[in-house]
Amino acid sequence: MTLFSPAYLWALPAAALPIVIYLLFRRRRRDVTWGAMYILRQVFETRSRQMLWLQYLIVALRTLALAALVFLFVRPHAAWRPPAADAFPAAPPSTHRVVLLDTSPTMQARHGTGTRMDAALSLCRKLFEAGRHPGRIDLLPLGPSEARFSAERLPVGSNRIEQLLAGCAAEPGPAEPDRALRAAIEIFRASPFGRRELYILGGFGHREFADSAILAPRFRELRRQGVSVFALRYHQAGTRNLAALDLSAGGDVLLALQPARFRLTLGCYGDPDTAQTHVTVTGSGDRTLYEQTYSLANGEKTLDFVLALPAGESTLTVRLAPDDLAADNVIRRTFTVRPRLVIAVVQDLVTKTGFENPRTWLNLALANAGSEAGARDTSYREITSAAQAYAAANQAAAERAEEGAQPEQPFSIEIEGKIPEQVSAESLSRADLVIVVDMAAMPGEAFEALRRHVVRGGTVLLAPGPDADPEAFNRCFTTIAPLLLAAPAAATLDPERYEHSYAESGEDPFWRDLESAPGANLGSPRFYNHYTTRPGSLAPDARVLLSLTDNAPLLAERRVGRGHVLLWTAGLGADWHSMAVHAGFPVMLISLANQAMERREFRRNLDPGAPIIAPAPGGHARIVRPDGGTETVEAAPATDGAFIRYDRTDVPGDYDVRTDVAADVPGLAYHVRPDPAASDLRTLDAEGQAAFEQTGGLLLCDREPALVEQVGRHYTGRPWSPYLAAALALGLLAEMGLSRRFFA
Amino acid sequence: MVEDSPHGFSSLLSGELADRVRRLELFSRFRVEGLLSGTGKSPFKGFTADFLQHRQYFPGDPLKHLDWRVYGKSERLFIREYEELTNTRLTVVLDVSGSMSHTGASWSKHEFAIRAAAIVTYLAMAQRDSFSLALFREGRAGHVPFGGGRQHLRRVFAALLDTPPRDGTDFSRGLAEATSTVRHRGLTMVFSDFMDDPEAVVRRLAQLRYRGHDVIAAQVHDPSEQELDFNSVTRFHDPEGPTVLVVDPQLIQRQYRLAFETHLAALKGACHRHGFEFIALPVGDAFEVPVFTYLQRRLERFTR
Repeated sequence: MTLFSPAYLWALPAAALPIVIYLLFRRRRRDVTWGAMYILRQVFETRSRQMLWLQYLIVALRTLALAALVFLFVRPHAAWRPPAADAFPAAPPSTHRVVLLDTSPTMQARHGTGTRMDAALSLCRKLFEAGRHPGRIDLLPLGPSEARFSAERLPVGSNRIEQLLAGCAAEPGPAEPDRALRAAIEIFRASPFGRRELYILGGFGHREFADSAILAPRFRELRRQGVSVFALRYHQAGTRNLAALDLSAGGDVLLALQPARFRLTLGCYGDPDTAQTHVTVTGSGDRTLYEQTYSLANGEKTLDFVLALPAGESTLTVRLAPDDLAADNVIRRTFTVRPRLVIAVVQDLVTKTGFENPRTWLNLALANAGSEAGARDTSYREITSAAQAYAAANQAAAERAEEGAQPEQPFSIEIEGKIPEQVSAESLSRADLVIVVDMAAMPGEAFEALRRHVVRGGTVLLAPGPDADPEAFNRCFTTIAPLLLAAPAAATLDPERYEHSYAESGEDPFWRDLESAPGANLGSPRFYNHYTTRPGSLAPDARVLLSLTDNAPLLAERRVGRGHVLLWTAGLGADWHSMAVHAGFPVMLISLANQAMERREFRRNLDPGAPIIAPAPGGHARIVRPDGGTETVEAAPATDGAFIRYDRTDVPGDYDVRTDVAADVPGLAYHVRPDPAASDLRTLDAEGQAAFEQTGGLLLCDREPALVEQVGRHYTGRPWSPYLAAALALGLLAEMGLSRRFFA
Repeated sequence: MVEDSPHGFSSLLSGELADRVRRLELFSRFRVEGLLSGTGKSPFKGFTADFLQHRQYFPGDPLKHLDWRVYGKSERLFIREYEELTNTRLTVVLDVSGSMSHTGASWSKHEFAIRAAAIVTYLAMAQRDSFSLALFREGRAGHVPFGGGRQHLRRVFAALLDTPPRDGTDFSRGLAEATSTVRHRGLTMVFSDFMDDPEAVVRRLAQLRYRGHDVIAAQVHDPSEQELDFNSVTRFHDPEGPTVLVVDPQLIQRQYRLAFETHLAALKGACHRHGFEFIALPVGDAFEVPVFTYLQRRLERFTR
């Protein structure tokens, strides 16, 4: 039963008024001395009991009449019954139905014997078939498409229905609930029909569904327009949904066969919440580089693994399984693997030799493990992780050579020693990292060359030694240094007094490995002294990367032009710290150099919306998008060549940048990772569902029969008003008749 | 009960009762004069006694009967002689049982009945009829023998006023004892509510009729008794006993009124069948009915 105006039920207690009045009157008793008791006694004995029951009957009739009157206002209707088991409620006349159909990849998931989209289209078909004239049905994709598929002269033929359904299903795209609801509101605003219904069919995975702040105004407007909203979620229990969200290393540029720690970010959604997740990482040629099975609960997870990649471009593909919604369980990333690292060490001509010269420590730390120079100090070589890495890489290369694979060479480090007079833009152009050691000042030309190198994208590490004059240093390097130096922290060294270092930002992927024990464990070296810095001298675009436990900066970075300048305040020799003999020292230097290398390259692995910047010597390039579209982009000339910039990276996936527009040959691969927050492949959790239902003022149905029942409740069966009116009239007539007959 | 006293009436009455008697007397007089003023007859002139002839005055004749007009014309003394009608002997029988204490909007039935009885006896006194009073309940409750004149009237009034209604009613015994002293034929007016089986009551009254009395049954009832106009549950107390009925009058009002009318009709029918008059006296201000009924029946007796 449906009550059209249940608010009037508040008046129902008034139906008890006759009973109350009757009881009140019966309570009032008076005493009378009656002279005609002879007659009263006669009548009392014969008629009193009969009349009492008759009075009860009259009171009941009055009560029922009042109750019937109240219910007439309440307007009850019998429950609507569907004419057939799977029939959809036929629309009453002048009904305008708008259907928002989710056409995102989530609708390709298995649903019964078909997919979710099959089930949704079947329901849409029933909606069209149940349409009645006058009326209208508008079918809109829930995604970004502004297409609309409408039928006005209802019902429409089956061919036309299939045409409309196919048209809508062919407009795929991620769900955009807010945009779709606004479109529906505009349609209803112009609608001439009095009865309005909105149906939302989909996976309900988009984050906007759970964000009441976004959708609340839309639903409020729909309610104001008198629109009834129904929602059906296609979600199957046991659906397994994995999403590969990101794959990153310390950067996009790696060194050949250097063990690099890769971090995979993945999302586990669906039921059950704990399941075996198989991760496979393949490289070029689908060679499996890594494979592991994890037991993961629901939510976003990060998994780390180590790979050593050969020189060249390596495209890694991560696949997750098992997955019922496989559209997002694959992610690709391209890494540029360099065969060598070139470090330029700029140092004045000095008389320091051996281990008094910090350059010695650098050489030792960065030398190839198999070089003659490294072999001179076995103990030092053994404790450096870089040496260990080289040894492992050499071992791996030798093993592959035995297997007949093409031998791969680990990266090598070239150290170019320069004096200031040799510093020029050209001489520095090959260097991935320039280290200025123990220099408080440089000649003007050399400094200018150094500065231009930085502006053009180079990275410089300034490492003044213990003998440097802070003031002279500041005068020379003030335009590029992240901080200005002050006097050393300690006048004399005390072996019992030292600090430790720590990273300012543990979330920075560059530092997360260096702080870990397997990485470099930068926290263990001891720092006995360091240059202090002038308070407030941190440049506006500078930041502190490493600090000491006395809160003094140890390593700071400043962006200058397209490059970076790093400042190390403790000297690179062994005078002020034990870092030089620590296993993390070469790791840190190589990592700094690696980062410097990467900054000179354009990013290949992008966040959503980040621009693709690629060299285009031909003056233009063709972009093949992940959605299959292609665009030709004109290059802009630059001092060192022509580059294209492409900003439309809204769709996650692989973008193929082809500089040879004529040939059908793949070019440079760029990858845009999906936005985890924008993924609509996971459905609303219980909390999100409750928030959505409250915002929309509706019940989110999980099955089609439940939706039919919801709609049916909205419709009404036969009204009870005529029966109530007849009962009221009969009751009143009976009451009047009895009262007049027996009590008048 | 006030017995006839050879020493005079007034000396036996208390001050209050004497006041009430005087008030009743005045009431009766005004009512009677008022009722009869329209007819042009004066109760004090004995309008039913017509002039017969003149005869010579003999010493010892009452001087009040001297016709002074004739003496003026003839200087001879003559006595006026009237046609002497046979005096009616009026017996007023009054029910003083508890049921007569029912009070409606104005007077109680008892108060109304004694006023009606007082008026009738006053009229009888004015007509030079002799009158007596008999009171009954379950038996005889009081008696004032036949007599005439104002003093006797006062005695009757005192008896009326000094006998409150109480106890139950036994029409058979009460009426029999009350009328046992009525030996001479006359007019008997019975004032009662007759709340008993009509046939039984009327059979008792018929016995008087059979003894040659002219019986008028005056049924005194309060209009409220007939209506039972209560709109809430009521405890009805029987004034003649301990019975209490708790009744919702709404339930039986219609039937009760019907029963009351039936009772009155039954009484009337029974009276007519037994050859005497029945008059219904609803308590109110309409005393003309008993008065004119009395006068009419008296006239009928004289013209028979």
